[in-house]
Amino acid sequence: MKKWWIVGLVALTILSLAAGILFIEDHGSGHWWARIPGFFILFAFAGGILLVVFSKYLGRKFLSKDEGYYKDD
Amino acid sequence: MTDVMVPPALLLFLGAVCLPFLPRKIRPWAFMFFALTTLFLVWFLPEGKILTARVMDYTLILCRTDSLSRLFGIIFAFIAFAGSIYSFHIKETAQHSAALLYAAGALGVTYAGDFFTLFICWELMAVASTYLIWSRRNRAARRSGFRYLIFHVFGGGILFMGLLLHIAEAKSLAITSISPDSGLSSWLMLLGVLINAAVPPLHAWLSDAYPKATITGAVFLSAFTTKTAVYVLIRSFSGWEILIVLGAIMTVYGVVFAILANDIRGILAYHIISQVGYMVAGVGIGTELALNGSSAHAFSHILYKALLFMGAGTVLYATGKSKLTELGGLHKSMRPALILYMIAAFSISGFPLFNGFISKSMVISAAGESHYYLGMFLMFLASVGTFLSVGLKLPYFTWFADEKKLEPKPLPRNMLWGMGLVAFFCILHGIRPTLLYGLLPFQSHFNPYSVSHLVETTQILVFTFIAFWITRRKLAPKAEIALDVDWLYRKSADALRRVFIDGPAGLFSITDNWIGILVRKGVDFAANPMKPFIPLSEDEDYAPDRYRPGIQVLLSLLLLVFIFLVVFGLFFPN
Repeated sequence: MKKWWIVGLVALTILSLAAGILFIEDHGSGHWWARIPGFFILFAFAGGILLVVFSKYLGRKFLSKDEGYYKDD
Repeated sequence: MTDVMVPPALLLFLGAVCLPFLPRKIRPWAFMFFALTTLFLVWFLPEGKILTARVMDYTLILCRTDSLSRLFGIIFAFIAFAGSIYSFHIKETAQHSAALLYAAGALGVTYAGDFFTLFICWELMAVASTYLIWSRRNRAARRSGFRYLIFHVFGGGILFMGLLLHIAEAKSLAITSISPDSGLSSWLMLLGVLINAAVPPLHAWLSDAYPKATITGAVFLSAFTTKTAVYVLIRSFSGWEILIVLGAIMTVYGVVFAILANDIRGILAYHIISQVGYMVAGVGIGTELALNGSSAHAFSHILYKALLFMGAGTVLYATGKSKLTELGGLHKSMRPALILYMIAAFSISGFPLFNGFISKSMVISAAGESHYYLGMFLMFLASVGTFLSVGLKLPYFTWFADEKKLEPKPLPRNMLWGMGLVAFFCILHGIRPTLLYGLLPFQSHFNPYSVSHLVETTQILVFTFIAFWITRRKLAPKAEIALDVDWLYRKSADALRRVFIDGPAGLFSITDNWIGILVRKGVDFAANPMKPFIPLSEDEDYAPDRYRPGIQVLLSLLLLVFIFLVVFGLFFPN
């Protein structure tokens, strides 16, 4: 990946973490996860990897078949 | 003037009927004209108007306007207009008329005040949309279109069953809120609506048929059927708890299958199912925020999903290919299409300043506020998967990644104009959410641009991107399909045909043959009844002289026996 891409992503991450910590009083909703500064970092990263691994696993085990499976064309 | 009430659906229907009678060159313009005037009509039609008709014992409410129907009416008419621009280059008038009829049905359902009118328009939509699939004119589209039609007629039948029961109980046709306690009628009606909303396991018609439709037809398909179902859910089924479960599961279901799909329109089709999940869940939650969210998301979704299909359509038009395994390296040769596609991709992924951000968040917040935390996290997970699949994987492997030396044909200008028009509103609503919020059925105090929302969105987008980058080799497309629930009726189609069609046909054929043989034997016998008695004779035909001696002997013998018996009986009576 190009250098400025990495810089941009890191900058965004730090910005979001900072905003999360500094403006924590903003949400009166009181949800427990919103209090943890990097919650969605973990969620998105783990969730993304999990989704890909899980979907590909399902595909390999049962679902993925050759294109001509239904003899439709 | 204030008493004149033109149902918007009628205007589109008129357009569909008039089109074949207009000069050929005018027709695409007429399509645009009818769609645009319908949009104006819908925009300026005041709320609270009603148009009824008495048919036999029943009062039909053909058209009823309020804020909810106006919202859906506006977006349906608008997308019909944008679609008319995108499909301007199509020469086949029947496709334009079919699209107009389809839109007419959608607007008919939206403005219907009674269930019967709703049902008629519902069925009209099914028929018109099937034509948009069949007009692709290849074998796969024909077969898929049949499955689509059969499934929709089946769904319509179930809806109708529920309707009949409902009318018997309620003694009225009027569209009202339906409660889960109303018994069989309400569940049958829900089932009929869920089929059109593509709720798993009743969704396979969508992922089967949409990728096989025409390039321009798919744009209309993506907008109308599922969203009219969402409209009916909002209208009559709000607060049904089961919808929260179904909706939340749907959001992830669509994403999982989209990750496995190879056809770019197949990916987009599964994402329709995923995004409609948010709307269905919102209806289930039932609060004002949730219903506002479902409505707003339906509006936004129609815009960006149409744009996504338009983008995929341009790739298919230019290269003749729609599979990720066959695409790649188009970012220089198809730059405008890529940019417009990415606007839609950012919208569906919930980027700030695009319309997905301002609507999806409403439903998610509503779920959180009503303490449906599992549902909320499933929706977050689906958001991760959506960005990964539509925002990253699809464009990466279609426009970047492996260079396939494709030479794309130039695109008709109108396709890009249509895309540009839709993209404009995707961005406009992202920048000024109140433009959309003002149309919502309930007063909205929701502010999407809160610090916490921006923080969570940034983190989700950045780290989904990183997760994609790490797994991108695992995500490499394969020339495969993923079996979905339609396997049950598609794989068994051959076996079922053998049992139910070939079997009885064979039986009929055998019976036919045997009857033929029997008849022939009967005819032979009638021609010469003496033949069986004289099997060794060479003669075929009956000749009275030949057989007379034999018959004489036979009859004389019989006569003698008879006389003998009579004499015997007379002289020896006991």
